[in-house]
Amino acid sequence: VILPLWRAALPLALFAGLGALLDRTLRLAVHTGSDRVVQIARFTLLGVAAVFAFGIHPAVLVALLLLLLASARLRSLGPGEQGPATASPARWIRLVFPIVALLAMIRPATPLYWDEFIWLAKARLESEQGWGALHRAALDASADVIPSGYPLLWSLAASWLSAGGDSPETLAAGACAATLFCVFLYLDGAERMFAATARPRWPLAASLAVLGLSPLVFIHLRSAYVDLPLGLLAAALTFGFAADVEGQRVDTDAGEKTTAPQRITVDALIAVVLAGLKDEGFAYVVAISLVALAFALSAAGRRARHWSRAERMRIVRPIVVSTAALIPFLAWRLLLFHHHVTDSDHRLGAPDWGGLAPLFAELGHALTDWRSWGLLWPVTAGALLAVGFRRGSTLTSAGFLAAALVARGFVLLAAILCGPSRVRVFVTEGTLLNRLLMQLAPAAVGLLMLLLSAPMPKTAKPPAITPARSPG
Amino acid sequence: MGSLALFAAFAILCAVALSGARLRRSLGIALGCAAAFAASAGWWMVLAVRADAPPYAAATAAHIEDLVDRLDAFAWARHECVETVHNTCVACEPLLRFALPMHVSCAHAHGRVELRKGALSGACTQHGDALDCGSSGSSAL
Repeated sequence: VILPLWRAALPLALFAGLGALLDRTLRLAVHTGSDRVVQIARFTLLGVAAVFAFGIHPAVLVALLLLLLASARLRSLGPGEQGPATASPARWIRLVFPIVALLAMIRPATPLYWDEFIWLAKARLESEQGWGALHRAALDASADVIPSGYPLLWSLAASWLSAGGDSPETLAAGACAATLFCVFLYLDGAERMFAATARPRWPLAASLAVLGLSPLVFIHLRSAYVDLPLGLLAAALTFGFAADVEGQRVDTDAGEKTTAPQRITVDALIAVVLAGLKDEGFAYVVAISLVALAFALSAAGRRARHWSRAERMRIVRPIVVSTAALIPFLAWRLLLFHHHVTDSDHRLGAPDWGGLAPLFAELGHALTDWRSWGLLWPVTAGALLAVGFRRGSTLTSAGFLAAALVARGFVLLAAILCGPSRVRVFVTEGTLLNRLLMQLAPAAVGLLMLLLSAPMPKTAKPPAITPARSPG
Repeated sequence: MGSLALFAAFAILCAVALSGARLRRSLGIALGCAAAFAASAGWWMVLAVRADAPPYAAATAAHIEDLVDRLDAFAWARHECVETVHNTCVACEPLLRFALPMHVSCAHAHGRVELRKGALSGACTQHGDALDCGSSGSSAL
């Protein structure tokens, strides 16, 4: 009852090596100022994104590298991440990550949920037929790959990280390794968000406990579903922007321009992976980037006429990140169109307003399902309300996380209402709604992290009332 | 409606607590305890009752592995050119895809796989070039 996770070691090392080679050769500055374990994770991310982009089309890789080069040059114009690299990640990550990895690994080697095999079947095709087989089959309408037209990265990752395995247990191990990689990026993203200011770390533990105590999160962690990894990466991207907003607040408070947008290259790579995992991933990148852009413009508009370099970077950054996601997304769509393959689940049309009432009824049922989610969603609703209650919080990182979460919720709502009727059937009669909520859960917990640790708004003290002296 | 009211009540409590200036650490501990209590029924299901719970997970995994192996062997012996009839087992489709990843359509199938309701936990029986899995199959697995 343990997954053969060791099979992922060599592929991960190869991806990290490729990423390091690209980083050193092209001076992408992916590694700047981070500790060594985090550096290796970032190199791996670069390697995976590069191989995935090349798999779609060599031109996609070229376009992506050009964008990364440009973003690295942009970053070098302003102050970046400072300080020498240290040996290991934050202490709490060193404690939490092995526990999560153990929970994910120790399970029956055979996947237990029938719909996991949808992803693993495609992964097996790649493993059995060799490099590019899944890509060719997905672009061949007669091959009948299901679901038709979906991005391929999740199945490819399961195949790559299983070291070419074709049995259920080896492919499940590949998917598990990919999930754990996303968990690490999520934890690192949370740490970076907290590192922007000196916040206590205990709220991280309390918030992660709220997430980890949800039975459904435990089930998804130990499965080959893509929804939790997608949610973790979307949250990591949101945390990156939230760290910028936090830096913005520090700038404003200090009256200086000391902090700059960081991790621009890493966030662009996360955006590429998000677009490769599922179509929702691309939509999330756009939604998060738009919210970040609105926050950056709003903050810059309140300041002097001449924007500082850091402020300009904060405006450019969401544009770079969403462009990075757009490159593979658009290329894949063009290939699907060219090969007459349709993505039937994500073809948008006129909204079905009649589906709104049953959708909200189902949503109410899902959000109040204590057995599946525990207290996660009531706490999230409370956190969203608290952001509204707090005066002056609209430009804080918590306000940004809340806005990004709501924007992603609206993206999902629009996708369900404007999508084909079979999607609404999956929502009301299947497990789709819970899987979509799983995509939002990690970011919802991030909001709780910030609220538990955020400094309270200063309120003016009322003037002291001195008792009138009695005459005499 | 009771669940919804409880949801609203807890959300408002959280909102007020998170908006306040004191008891932040205590709030974190209380939140963790409340979250553990609220999820306890679900954890009981996950750890003791469901088919994927540790006491039953090995048996469930064995059923799935057996079915995949059976489908795999049957399809491989017929060069993956088999006719598939799903009947009432919608959940069998992904497993069949796993066994037949290329899913090639062939003019003259060399065999037939029929998957009925309960095929995931039931039995398969083979009659010549026909593999029947599900409620009407015998306990051949």
